[in-house]
Amino acid sequence: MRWTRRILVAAGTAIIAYAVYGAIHDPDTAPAGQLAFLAAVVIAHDALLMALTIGSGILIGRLLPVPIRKPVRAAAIISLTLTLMALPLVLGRGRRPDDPSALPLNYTRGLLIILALVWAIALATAWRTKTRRPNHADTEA
Amino acid sequence: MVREPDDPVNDHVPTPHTATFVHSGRAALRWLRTPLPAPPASLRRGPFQNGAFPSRLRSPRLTALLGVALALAFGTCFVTGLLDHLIQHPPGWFHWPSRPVWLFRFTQGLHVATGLATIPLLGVKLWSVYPRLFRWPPARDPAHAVERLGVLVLIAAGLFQLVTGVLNIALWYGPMHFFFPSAHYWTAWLAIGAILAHIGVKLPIIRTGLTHRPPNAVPPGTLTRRGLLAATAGAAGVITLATVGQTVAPLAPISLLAPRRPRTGPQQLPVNRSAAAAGVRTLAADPGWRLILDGPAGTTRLSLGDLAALPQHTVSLPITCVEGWSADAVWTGVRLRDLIARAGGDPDNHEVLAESLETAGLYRSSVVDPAHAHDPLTLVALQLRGEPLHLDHGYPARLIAPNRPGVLQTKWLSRLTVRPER
Repeated sequence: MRWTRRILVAAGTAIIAYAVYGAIHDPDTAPAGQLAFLAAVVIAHDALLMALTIGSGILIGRLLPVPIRKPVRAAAIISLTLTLMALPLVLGRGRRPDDPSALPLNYTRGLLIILALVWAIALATAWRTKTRRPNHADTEA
Repeated sequence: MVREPDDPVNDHVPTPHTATFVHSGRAALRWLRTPLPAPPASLRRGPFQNGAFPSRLRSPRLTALLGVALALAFGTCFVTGLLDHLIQHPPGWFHWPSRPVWLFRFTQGLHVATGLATIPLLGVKLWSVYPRLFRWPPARDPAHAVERLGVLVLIAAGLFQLVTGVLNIALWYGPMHFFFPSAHYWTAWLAIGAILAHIGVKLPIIRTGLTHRPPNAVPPGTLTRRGLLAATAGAAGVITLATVGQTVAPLAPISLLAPRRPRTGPQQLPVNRSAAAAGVRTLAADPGWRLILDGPAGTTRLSLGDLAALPQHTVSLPITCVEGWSADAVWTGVRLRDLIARAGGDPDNHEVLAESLETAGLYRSSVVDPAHAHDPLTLVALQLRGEPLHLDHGYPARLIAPNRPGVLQTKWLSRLTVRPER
């Protein structure tokens, strides 16, 4: 395992060096813009998104009755990641008047429909858990 | 006889040069492992405090399972992305076949679908290790600091690839102050290198995580490990179903977030670059248009009528965009290999430089290598689904070949140069 680890670390470091060299020497790249974007995504994730995620988890744990928390947590995870992915489509800033075949759908409507389905399933699950096994819900802990 | 001086291990009499080298190397290793002074405890506040992250759900096993899935996902994206890069910028050793017809459509569809499904995977994986961002002291020794820097590179590169990829398929280039294809390509190398190094560093804990199953000691109302993994897989599944219809046509009706619909566009086919955007509307609609055919036998100029008078063939070939969408279409036109023969070339060892009416732009021309040029499915198409090509689909004539990225299916052809393969 020792040599496997050494080889992995050495190969990884060499590839990172190749990437940095390539990015700097590629005439089509803009290293400053790229570096700024790399920093921006880390800050946005670590400072905003994680705070939002963990904060939502805490709120669910404080505000909701125990039996429905689990399906709500699952639905929240799905909703958050789906919304993040859909956001650029919903904003529609990439639409081009000369090409209606690009981004042809109403993505706000699409996102709301899928979120409604996800939450309908989550609430149905919560309701079933609550009514079926009132004494056994969440006792595996 | 004098002994070889470069054997310090055996004779223990290193040359001064080797001795210095070994000495400084050992000193560097020692320095890397020298404990760093602990920062003042008064700075240990907020998330840095003990117990700031009370969730019992986090465990090496959870992180290792998510890590394996993530490594497979990034590996898939890296291989399929690299393939697209090689097809578009082929080095001498690389040859891409013209069959199977669906191969590129599959690899590029997989690239985008895998990338999108990776969003929840990466999010939950980073959640599972988030408290480590606030570990105390921040670094034990310089080696540990270097390792943490490597993790920063990994996270930045991973997030960068997913965010820029999503922006690209949403055609939103405003936030990206760089050329997307180059940045996405080089950051892919950065990510894959950082992943390999990370696996190397973490191998013992990955092994422990995969082989040991700690009890699920979570309080009521909290997701279990299995529950969290199921929710993550569910999120990946919902995202996939919501988008994959852009390339899997039968799923298009339920893919409410697909950036394209395979049957939506002029002549029921999506357009990547319109004639207006390419600035060719006037030239393409000009009745005086001629296709210049250049080859060993000389130069001929073919009108649309001349091309239509040549033997016509009808083929069913998909258009595949690197942005992950693809759509079937039926094309009618002249076989490229017939035109190569007409220009005095041999389709088996001649390539064709196809140039567009566009005067500028990255994709104004493409090279059709012999594998594609002699394929009977490769056409200079004049019709789409039995009608003359729509202006946005490349009227008066465009290239269509099997198993190639859409950006190489040159539209609004102006000149074909038949030349020996380089």
